[in-house]
Amino acid sequence: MSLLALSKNSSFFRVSRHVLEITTCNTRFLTTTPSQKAQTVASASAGSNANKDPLVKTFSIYRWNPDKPAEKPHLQQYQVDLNACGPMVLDALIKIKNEQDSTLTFRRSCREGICGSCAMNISGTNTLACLAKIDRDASNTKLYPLPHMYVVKDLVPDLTHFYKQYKSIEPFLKKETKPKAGEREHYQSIADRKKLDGLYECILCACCSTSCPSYWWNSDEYLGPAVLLQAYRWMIDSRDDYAKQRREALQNPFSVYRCHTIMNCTKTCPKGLNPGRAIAMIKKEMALE
Amino acid sequence: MSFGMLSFSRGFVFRRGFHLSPFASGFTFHRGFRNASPNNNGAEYIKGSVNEAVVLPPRDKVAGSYHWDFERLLSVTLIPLTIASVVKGGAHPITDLCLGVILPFHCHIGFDAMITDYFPHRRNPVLNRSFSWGLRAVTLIVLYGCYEFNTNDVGLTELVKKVWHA
Repeated sequence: MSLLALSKNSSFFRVSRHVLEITTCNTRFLTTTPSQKAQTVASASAGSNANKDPLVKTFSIYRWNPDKPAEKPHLQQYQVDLNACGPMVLDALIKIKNEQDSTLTFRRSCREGICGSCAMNISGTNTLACLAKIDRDASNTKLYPLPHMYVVKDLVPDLTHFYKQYKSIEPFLKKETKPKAGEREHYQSIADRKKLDGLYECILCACCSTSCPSYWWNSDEYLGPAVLLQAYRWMIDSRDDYAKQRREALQNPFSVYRCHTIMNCTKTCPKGLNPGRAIAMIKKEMALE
Repeated sequence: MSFGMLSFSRGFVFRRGFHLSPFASGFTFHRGFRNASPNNNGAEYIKGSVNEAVVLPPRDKVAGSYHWDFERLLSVTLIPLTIASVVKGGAHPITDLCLGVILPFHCHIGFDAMITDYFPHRRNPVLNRSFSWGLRAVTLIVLYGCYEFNTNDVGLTELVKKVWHA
Protein backbone atom coordinates (compact mmCIF):
# COMPACT_ATOMS: atom_id res chain seq x y z
CA MET A 1 0.00 0.00 0.00
CA SER A 2 2.93 2.35 0.60
CA LEU A 3 3.98 1.90 -3.02
CA LEU A 4 0.56 3.11 -4.06
CA ALA A 5 0.90 6.17 -1.84
CA LEU A 6 4.21 7.06 -3.48
CA SER A 7 2.81 6.75 -6.95
CA LYS A 8 -0.48 8.53 -6.29
CA ASN A 9 0.52 11.69 -8.09
CA SER A 10 1.96 10.04 -11.14
CA SER A 11 -0.52 9.67 -13.99
CA PHE A 12 1.41 6.72 -15.35
CA PHE A 13 0.61 4.67 -12.29
CA ARG A 14 -3.02 5.70 -12.04
CA VAL A 15 -4.29 2.95 -14.32
CA SER A 16 -2.23 0.24 -12.66
CA ARG A 17 -3.37 1.52 -9.27
CA HIS A 18 -6.98 0.91 -10.17
CA VAL A 19 -6.15 -2.57 -11.41
CA LEU A 20 -4.26 -3.32 -8.22
CA GLU A 21 -7.08 -2.02 -6.08
CA ILE A 22 -9.68 -4.06 -7.92
CA THR A 23 -7.76 -7.27 -7.53
CA THR A 24 -6.44 -6.85 -4.02
CA CYS A 25 -9.14 -4.90 -2.17
CA ASN A 26 -12.20 -5.80 -4.12
CA THR A 27 -14.52 -5.29 -1.21
CA ARG A 28 -13.87 -1.54 -0.99
CA PHE A 29 -12.52 -0.22 -4.29
CA LEU A 30 -14.56 -2.22 -6.77
CA THR A 31 -15.25 0.14 -9.68
CA THR A 32 -17.30 -2.28 -11.79
CA THR A 33 -21.03 -2.46 -11.21
CA PRO A 34 -22.36 -5.91 -10.38
CA SER A 35 -24.24 -7.08 -13.46
CA GLN A 36 -26.72 -9.89 -13.71
CA LYS A 37 -24.20 -11.97 -15.65
CA ALA A 38 -21.65 -11.51 -12.89
CA GLN A 39 -24.26 -12.56 -10.35
CA THR A 40 -25.06 -15.84 -12.11
CA VAL A 41 -21.36 -16.62 -12.51
CA ALA A 42 -20.81 -15.86 -8.84
CA SER A 43 -23.68 -18.05 -7.71
CA ALA A 44 -22.54 -20.94 -9.90
CA SER A 45 -19.02 -20.82 -8.51
CA ALA A 46 -20.39 -20.52 -4.99
CA GLY A 47 -21.87 -23.96 -5.39
CA SER A 48 -25.56 -23.68 -6.05
CA ASN A 49 -26.82 -26.37 -8.38
CA ALA A 50 -30.38 -25.23 -8.80
CA ASN A 51 -30.41 -26.17 -12.49
CA LYS A 52 -28.69 -29.60 -12.31
CA ASP A 53 -29.38 -32.85 -10.48
CA PRO A 54 -26.67 -33.80 -8.04
CA LEU A 55 -24.02 -35.95 -9.76
CA VAL A 56 -22.62 -37.88 -6.82
CA LYS A 57 -19.34 -39.74 -7.31
CA THR A 58 -17.19 -41.71 -4.91
CA PHE A 59 -13.62 -40.82 -4.08
CA SER A 60 -11.57 -43.62 -2.48
CA ILE A 61 -8.70 -41.96 -0.71
CA TYR A 62 -5.69 -43.60 0.95
CA ARG A 63 -5.62 -42.80 4.65
CA TRP A 64 -2.95 -43.45 7.22
CA ASN A 65 -2.42 -41.62 10.48
CA PRO A 66 1.11 -41.50 11.97
CA ASP A 67 -0.45 -40.68 15.34
CA LYS A 68 -2.02 -44.15 15.26
CA PRO A 69 0.67 -46.11 13.46
CA ALA A 70 -0.76 -49.51 14.41
CA GLU A 71 -3.87 -48.84 12.32
CA LYS A 72 -3.23 -50.14 8.84
CA PRO A 73 -3.50 -47.82 5.86
CA HIS A 74 -6.95 -48.07 4.30
CA LEU A 75 -9.10 -46.54 1.60
CA GLN A 76 -11.80 -44.22 2.85
CA GLN A 77 -14.79 -43.48 0.65
CA TYR A 78 -16.18 -39.97 0.24
CA GLN A 79 -19.26 -38.94 -1.76
CA VAL A 80 -18.96 -35.68 -3.68
CA ASP A 81 -21.57 -33.89 -5.78
CA LEU A 82 -19.58 -33.02 -8.88
CA ASN A 83 -22.12 -30.36 -9.89
CA ALA A 84 -21.30 -28.46 -6.73
CA CYS A 85 -17.57 -28.87 -7.10
CA GLY A 86 -14.82 -27.49 -9.30
CA PRO A 87 -13.61 -29.61 -12.21
CA MET A 88 -10.24 -30.69 -10.84
CA VAL A 89 -9.40 -33.42 -8.35
CA LEU A 90 -7.84 -30.82 -6.07
CA ASP A 91 -11.20 -29.02 -5.94
CA ALA A 92 -12.82 -32.25 -4.77
CA LEU A 93 -10.11 -32.80 -2.17
CA ILE A 94 -10.52 -29.30 -0.78
CA LYS A 95 -14.30 -29.70 -0.79
CA ILE A 96 -13.99 -32.97 1.16
CA LYS A 97 -11.60 -31.37 3.62
CA ASN A 98 -13.88 -28.36 4.09
CA GLU A 99 -17.24 -30.07 4.33
CA GLN A 100 -16.72 -33.70 5.29
CA ASP A 101 -13.40 -34.64 6.87
CA SER A 102 -10.98 -31.96 7.96
CA THR A 103 -8.36 -34.54 8.94
CA LEU A 104 -7.71 -35.41 5.27
CA THR A 105 -4.12 -34.34 4.64
CA PHE A 106 -2.52 -33.42 1.33
CA ARG A 107 -0.04 -30.92 -0.05
CA ARG A 108 -1.26 -28.09 -2.26
CA SER A 109 -0.26 -24.53 -3.06
CA CYS A 110 -0.68 -22.85 -6.44
CA ARG A 111 -3.76 -24.73 -7.77
CA GLU A 112 -2.49 -24.10 -11.30
CA GLY A 113 0.09 -26.80 -11.97
CA ILE A 114 3.26 -24.82 -11.42
CA CYS A 115 4.37 -25.56 -7.86
CA GLY A 116 4.30 -29.35 -7.95
CA SER A 117 2.97 -29.75 -4.39
CA CYS A 118 -0.19 -31.74 -5.14
CA ALA A 119 1.52 -34.60 -6.99
CA MET A 120 -0.27 -37.88 -6.27
CA ASN A 121 -1.47 -41.07 -7.91
CA ILE A 122 -4.93 -40.46 -9.35
CA SER A 123 -6.69 -43.56 -10.74
CA GLY A 124 -3.35 -45.23 -11.37
CA THR A 125 -1.54 -42.27 -12.92
CA ASN A 126 0.91 -39.93 -11.25
CA THR A 127 -0.23 -36.36 -11.91
CA LEU A 128 -0.92 -33.07 -10.22
CA ALA A 129 -4.31 -33.01 -8.52
CA CYS A 130 -4.86 -29.42 -9.60
CA LEU A 131 -4.49 -30.35 -13.27
CA ALA A 132 -6.30 -33.70 -13.25
CA LYS A 133 -9.93 -33.34 -14.30
CA ILE A 134 -12.38 -35.44 -12.34
CA ASP A 135 -13.62 -38.27 -14.54
CA ARG A 136 -17.35 -37.63 -14.65
CA ASP A 137 -18.06 -41.01 -16.22
CA ALA A 138 -16.17 -43.19 -13.73
CA SER A 139 -18.13 -44.11 -10.64
CA ASN A 140 -15.06 -44.18 -8.42
CA THR A 141 -11.81 -42.18 -8.38
CA LYS A 142 -8.91 -43.66 -6.42
CA LEU A 143 -6.37 -41.35 -4.82
CA TYR A 144 -3.09 -42.75 -3.58
CA PRO A 145 0.14 -41.06 -2.56
CA LEU A 146 3.06 -41.25 -5.00
CA PRO A 147 4.00 -44.94 -5.33
CA HIS A 148 6.89 -46.53 -3.43
CA MET A 149 7.46 -43.50 -1.21
CA TYR A 150 7.45 -43.40 2.56
CA VAL A 151 4.19 -41.79 3.66
CA VAL A 152 4.17 -38.98 6.20
CA LYS A 153 0.38 -38.91 6.44
CA ASP A 154 -2.54 -39.70 4.10
CA LEU A 155 -1.49 -38.41 0.67
CA VAL A 156 1.76 -36.74 1.75
CA PRO A 157 4.97 -38.58 0.69
CA ASP A 158 8.42 -38.05 2.18
CA LEU A 159 10.48 -36.43 -0.58
CA THR A 160 13.64 -35.86 1.50
CA HIS A 161 15.76 -38.38 -0.40
CA PHE A 162 14.47 -37.00 -3.71
CA TYR A 163 15.67 -33.51 -2.78
CA LYS A 164 18.99 -34.86 -1.55
CA GLN A 165 19.50 -36.53 -4.91
CA TYR A 166 18.65 -33.27 -6.67
CA LYS A 167 21.26 -31.48 -4.61
CA SER A 168 23.90 -34.08 -5.51
CA ILE A 169 23.91 -33.12 -9.21
CA GLU A 170 24.82 -29.51 -8.31
CA PRO A 171 21.90 -27.76 -10.05
CA PHE A 172 23.56 -24.37 -10.34
CA LEU A 173 25.77 -22.54 -12.79
CA LYS A 174 29.46 -23.35 -12.41
CA LYS A 175 32.05 -21.31 -14.24
CA GLU A 176 35.79 -21.83 -14.45
CA THR A 177 36.69 -18.15 -14.14
CA LYS A 178 35.07 -15.38 -12.18
CA PRO A 179 33.34 -12.70 -14.27
CA LYS A 180 35.52 -9.75 -15.17
CA ALA A 181 34.96 -6.35 -13.59
CA GLY A 182 32.65 -4.83 -16.24
CA GLU A 183 30.86 -8.02 -17.33
CA ARG A 184 27.54 -8.63 -15.66
CA GLU A 185 25.81 -11.03 -18.01
CA HIS A 186 26.56 -14.54 -19.18
CA TYR A 187 25.81 -14.27 -22.87
CA GLN A 188 23.93 -17.07 -24.56
CA SER A 189 22.78 -17.33 -28.15
CA ILE A 190 19.15 -17.93 -29.04
CA ALA A 191 20.02 -21.36 -30.42
CA ASP A 192 21.74 -22.33 -27.17
CA ARG A 193 18.79 -21.06 -25.16
CA LYS A 194 16.47 -23.19 -27.28
CA LYS A 195 18.31 -26.30 -26.10
CA LEU A 196 16.99 -25.65 -22.61
CA ASP A 197 13.34 -25.69 -23.73
CA GLY A 198 11.63 -28.77 -22.35
CA LEU A 199 14.16 -29.00 -19.53
CA TYR A 200 13.88 -25.84 -17.46
CA GLU A 201 10.09 -26.17 -17.05
CA CYS A 202 10.47 -29.09 -14.63
CA ILE A 203 8.72 -28.28 -11.36
CA LEU A 204 10.26 -31.21 -9.45
CA CYS A 205 6.88 -32.68 -8.60
CA ALA A 206 8.44 -36.20 -8.54
CA CYS A 207 5.64 -37.71 -10.65
CA CYS A 208 8.13 -39.17 -13.13
CA SER A 209 10.64 -40.58 -10.67
CA THR A 210 7.93 -42.26 -8.65
CA SER A 211 6.48 -43.81 -11.79
CA CYS A 212 9.78 -45.47 -12.72
CA PRO A 213 10.12 -49.14 -11.65
CA SER A 214 13.91 -48.80 -11.61
CA TYR A 215 13.51 -45.94 -9.15
CA TRP A 216 11.14 -48.07 -7.06
CA TRP A 217 13.69 -50.85 -6.72
CA ASN A 218 16.87 -48.75 -6.52
CA SER A 219 15.97 -45.27 -5.31
CA ASP A 220 19.02 -45.32 -3.02
CA GLU A 221 21.47 -45.02 -5.88
CA TYR A 222 19.55 -44.53 -9.12
CA LEU A 223 18.91 -40.79 -9.46
CA GLY A 224 15.58 -41.07 -11.25
CA PRO A 225 14.21 -39.24 -14.30
CA ALA A 226 13.48 -35.90 -12.60
CA VAL A 227 16.99 -35.45 -11.24
CA LEU A 228 18.56 -36.73 -14.45
CA LEU A 229 16.48 -34.29 -16.50
CA GLN A 230 17.92 -31.47 -14.42
CA ALA A 231 21.42 -32.96 -14.65
CA TYR A 232 21.07 -32.83 -18.42
CA ARG A 233 19.68 -29.29 -18.24
CA TRP A 234 22.91 -28.15 -16.60
CA MET A 235 25.12 -30.31 -18.80
CA ILE A 236 23.94 -28.68 -22.02
CA ASP A 237 23.67 -25.14 -20.69
CA SER A 238 26.19 -23.24 -22.80
CA ARG A 239 26.93 -20.89 -19.91
CA ASP A 240 28.11 -23.76 -17.70
CA ASP A 241 31.81 -24.74 -17.87
CA TYR A 242 31.68 -28.01 -15.95
CA ALA A 243 29.77 -30.28 -18.37
CA LYS A 244 32.57 -32.84 -18.48
CA GLN A 245 32.78 -33.06 -14.70
CA ARG A 246 29.00 -33.40 -14.46
CA ARG A 247 29.14 -36.37 -16.82
CA GLU A 248 32.06 -37.90 -14.96
CA ALA A 249 30.15 -37.76 -11.70
CA LEU A 250 27.58 -40.12 -13.22
CA GLN A 251 30.14 -42.73 -14.30
CA ASN A 252 28.92 -45.66 -12.23
CA PRO A 253 26.50 -48.51 -12.84
CA PHE A 254 23.67 -46.93 -10.84
CA SER A 255 23.24 -43.19 -11.20
CA VAL A 256 22.17 -43.23 -14.85
CA TYR A 257 22.45 -46.77 -16.11
CA ARG A 258 19.60 -48.28 -14.14
CA CYS A 259 17.38 -46.64 -16.76
CA HIS A 260 16.15 -49.30 -19.17
CA THR A 261 13.99 -46.93 -21.22
CA ILE A 262 10.77 -48.06 -19.60
CA MET A 263 9.43 -44.56 -20.44
CA ASN A 264 6.82 -44.38 -17.69
CA CYS A 265 8.35 -41.02 -16.87
CA THR A 266 7.52 -39.33 -20.15
CA LYS A 267 4.07 -40.87 -20.18
CA THR A 268 3.17 -39.49 -16.75
CA CYS A 269 4.80 -36.04 -16.73
CA PRO A 270 1.99 -33.55 -15.96
CA LYS A 271 3.95 -30.75 -17.65
CA GLY A 272 4.46 -32.71 -20.87
CA LEU A 273 8.24 -32.94 -20.53
CA ASN A 274 10.39 -35.81 -21.79
CA PRO A 275 12.77 -37.10 -19.12
CA GLY A 276 13.27 -40.37 -21.01
CA ARG A 277 14.78 -38.51 -23.94
CA ALA A 278 16.98 -36.43 -21.64
CA ILE A 279 18.36 -39.60 -20.06
CA ALA A 280 19.02 -41.05 -23.51
CA MET A 281 20.92 -37.88 -24.43
CA ILE A 282 22.99 -38.17 -21.24
CA LYS A 283 23.84 -41.76 -22.16
CA LYS A 284 24.76 -40.67 -25.65
CA GLU A 285 27.05 -37.90 -24.40
CA MET A 286 28.67 -40.21 -21.89
CA ALA A 287 29.16 -42.96 -24.45
CA LEU A 288 31.36 -40.79 -26.61
CA GLU A 289 33.82 -40.01 -23.83
CA MET B 1 1.19 -28.22 20.21
CA SER B 2 4.09 -30.18 21.70
CA PHE B 3 2.06 -33.38 21.26
CA GLY B 4 1.63 -32.50 17.61
CA MET B 5 5.38 -32.06 17.13
CA LEU B 6 6.09 -35.32 18.92
CA SER B 7 3.72 -37.18 16.66
CA PHE B 8 5.37 -35.65 13.60
CA SER B 9 8.75 -37.11 14.54
CA ARG B 10 7.12 -40.45 15.32
CA GLY B 11 5.52 -40.39 11.91
CA PHE B 12 8.91 -40.04 10.23
CA VAL B 13 10.21 -42.94 12.27
CA PHE B 14 7.53 -45.12 10.74
CA ARG B 15 6.73 -47.37 13.68
CA ARG B 16 10.28 -47.69 15.02
CA GLY B 17 11.65 -46.00 18.07
CA PHE B 18 13.44 -42.69 17.87
CA HIS B 19 16.79 -43.71 16.40
CA LEU B 20 19.87 -41.58 17.08
CA SER B 21 22.89 -43.59 16.00
CA PRO B 22 25.69 -41.59 14.37
CA PHE B 23 27.89 -44.69 14.15
CA ALA B 24 25.35 -46.83 12.33
CA SER B 25 26.23 -45.39 8.94
CA GLY B 26 29.96 -45.43 9.60
CA PHE B 27 30.50 -41.77 10.40
CA THR B 28 33.44 -40.90 12.64
CA PHE B 29 34.15 -37.71 14.54
CA HIS B 30 36.91 -36.90 12.05
CA ARG B 31 34.13 -35.93 9.63
CA GLY B 32 33.28 -32.92 11.74
CA PHE B 33 30.61 -31.94 14.15
CA ARG B 34 27.82 -31.62 11.60
CA ASN B 35 27.85 -35.37 11.04
CA ALA B 36 27.87 -36.30 14.71
CA SER B 37 24.08 -36.28 14.87
CA PRO B 38 22.40 -36.81 11.53
CA ASN B 39 19.35 -34.59 11.52
CA ASN B 40 16.88 -36.89 9.85
CA ASN B 41 14.42 -37.43 12.71
CA GLY B 42 15.51 -41.06 12.97
CA ALA B 43 14.48 -42.04 9.46
CA GLU B 44 17.02 -44.71 8.61
CA TYR B 45 16.52 -44.55 4.90
CA ILE B 46 17.98 -41.04 4.90
CA LYS B 47 21.76 -41.14 5.25
CA GLY B 48 23.18 -38.05 6.86
CA SER B 49 21.24 -34.88 7.51
CA VAL B 50 18.27 -33.83 5.42
CA ASN B 51 20.29 -30.92 4.02
CA GLU B 52 23.27 -32.94 2.77
CA ALA B 53 23.41 -34.03 -0.84
CA VAL B 54 23.38 -37.72 -1.59
CA VAL B 55 26.88 -39.13 -2.06
CA LEU B 56 27.18 -40.48 -5.58
CA PRO B 57 28.88 -43.89 -5.96
CA PRO B 58 32.62 -43.92 -6.79
CA ARG B 59 33.48 -43.17 -10.43
CA ASP B 60 34.21 -46.21 -12.54
CA LYS B 61 34.13 -45.83 -16.30
CA VAL B 62 34.47 -49.58 -16.87
CA ALA B 63 31.25 -50.25 -14.98
CA GLY B 64 29.73 -47.07 -16.39
CA SER B 65 29.89 -45.86 -19.97
CA TYR B 66 32.34 -48.50 -21.25
CA HIS B 67 29.99 -51.26 -20.10
CA TRP B 68 27.06 -49.54 -21.80
CA ASP B 69 29.07 -49.04 -25.00
CA PHE B 70 30.10 -52.71 -25.08
CA GLU B 71 26.55 -53.89 -24.50
CA ARG B 72 25.19 -51.78 -27.38
CA LEU B 73 28.08 -52.88 -29.60
CA LEU B 74 27.15 -56.53 -29.08
CA SER B 75 23.47 -55.83 -29.71
CA VAL B 76 24.23 -53.94 -32.91
CA THR B 77 26.54 -56.71 -34.15
CA LEU B 78 23.84 -59.29 -33.60
CA ILE B 79 21.45 -57.68 -36.09
CA PRO B 80 23.38 -58.28 -39.31
CA LEU B 81 24.68 -61.56 -37.89
CA THR B 82 21.19 -62.95 -37.33
CA ILE B 83 20.02 -61.76 -40.73
CA ALA B 84 23.07 -63.34 -42.33
CA SER B 85 22.48 -66.68 -40.65
CA VAL B 86 18.82 -66.63 -41.69
CA VAL B 87 19.34 -65.56 -45.29
CA LYS B 88 22.52 -67.30 -46.42
CA GLY B 89 22.60 -70.95 -47.32
CA GLY B 90 26.37 -71.27 -47.27
CA ALA B 91 28.68 -69.66 -44.72
CA HIS B 92 27.31 -71.41 -41.66
CA PRO B 93 30.63 -71.94 -39.89
CA ILE B 94 31.51 -68.25 -39.69
CA THR B 95 28.10 -67.03 -38.55
CA ASP B 96 27.83 -69.97 -36.14
CA LEU B 97 31.18 -69.14 -34.62
CA CYS B 98 30.29 -65.48 -34.19
CA LEU B 99 26.84 -66.26 -32.86
CA GLY B 100 28.27 -68.84 -30.49
CA VAL B 101 30.50 -66.21 -28.94
CA ILE B 102 28.39 -63.05 -29.13
CA LEU B 103 25.04 -64.55 -28.08
CA PRO B 104 26.29 -65.94 -24.72
CA PHE B 105 27.99 -62.61 -23.92
CA HIS B 106 24.88 -60.64 -24.92
CA CYS B 107 22.68 -62.84 -22.71
CA HIS B 108 25.20 -62.66 -19.87
CA ILE B 109 25.08 -58.86 -19.89
CA GLY B 110 21.27 -58.95 -19.98
CA PHE B 111 21.00 -61.30 -17.02
CA ASP B 112 23.68 -59.38 -15.15
CA ALA B 113 21.58 -56.23 -15.52
CA MET B 114 18.64 -58.08 -13.99
CA ILE B 115 20.78 -59.20 -11.04
CA THR B 116 22.02 -55.63 -10.49
CA ASP B 117 18.45 -54.32 -10.65
CA TYR B 118 16.78 -56.76 -8.28
CA PHE B 119 19.65 -57.89 -6.06
CA PRO B 120 22.04 -54.93 -5.82
CA HIS B 121 25.11 -55.65 -3.76
CA ARG B 122 24.40 -52.87 -1.27
CA ARG B 123 21.06 -54.50 -0.36
CA ASN B 124 21.51 -58.24 -0.99
CA PRO B 125 25.29 -58.83 -0.91
CA VAL B 126 25.10 -62.62 -0.55
CA LEU B 127 22.44 -63.20 -3.20
CA ASN B 128 24.18 -60.78 -5.54
CA ARG B 129 27.51 -62.56 -5.25
CA SER B 130 26.04 -66.06 -5.56
CA PHE B 131 23.86 -65.15 -8.56
CA SER B 132 26.72 -63.31 -10.26
CA TRP B 133 29.13 -66.19 -9.92
CA GLY B 134 26.43 -68.66 -10.92
CA LEU B 135 25.76 -66.58 -14.02
CA ARG B 136 29.45 -66.49 -14.92
CA ALA B 137 29.69 -70.25 -14.55
CA VAL B 138 26.62 -70.79 -16.72
CA THR B 139 27.94 -68.42 -19.40
CA LEU B 140 31.21 -70.34 -19.54
CA ILE B 141 29.33 -73.59 -19.86
CA VAL B 142 27.16 -72.14 -22.64
CA LEU B 143 30.24 -70.83 -24.45
CA TYR B 144 31.80 -74.24 -24.30
CA GLY B 145 28.51 -75.83 -25.31
CA CYS B 146 28.16 -73.58 -28.34
CA TYR B 147 31.72 -74.41 -29.36
CA GLU B 148 31.04 -78.14 -29.02
CA PHE B 149 27.74 -77.86 -30.86
CA ASN B 150 29.24 -75.84 -33.70
CA THR B 151 32.26 -78.10 -34.07
CA ASN B 152 30.97 -81.61 -33.53
CA ASP B 153 27.29 -81.21 -34.32
CA VAL B 154 25.10 -79.44 -36.88
CA GLY B 155 25.71 -75.89 -35.61
CA LEU B 156 23.41 -73.15 -34.29
CA THR B 157 21.95 -72.02 -37.61
CA GLU B 158 21.14 -75.58 -38.65
CA LEU B 159 19.58 -76.24 -35.24
CA VAL B 160 17.22 -73.30 -35.59
CA LYS B 161 16.36 -74.35 -39.13
CA LYS B 162 15.55 -77.89 -38.02
CA VAL B 163 13.43 -76.75 -35.11
CA TRP B 164 11.63 -74.23 -37.33
CA HIS B 165 10.74 -76.76 -40.00
CA ALA B 166 10.12 -79.67 -37.65
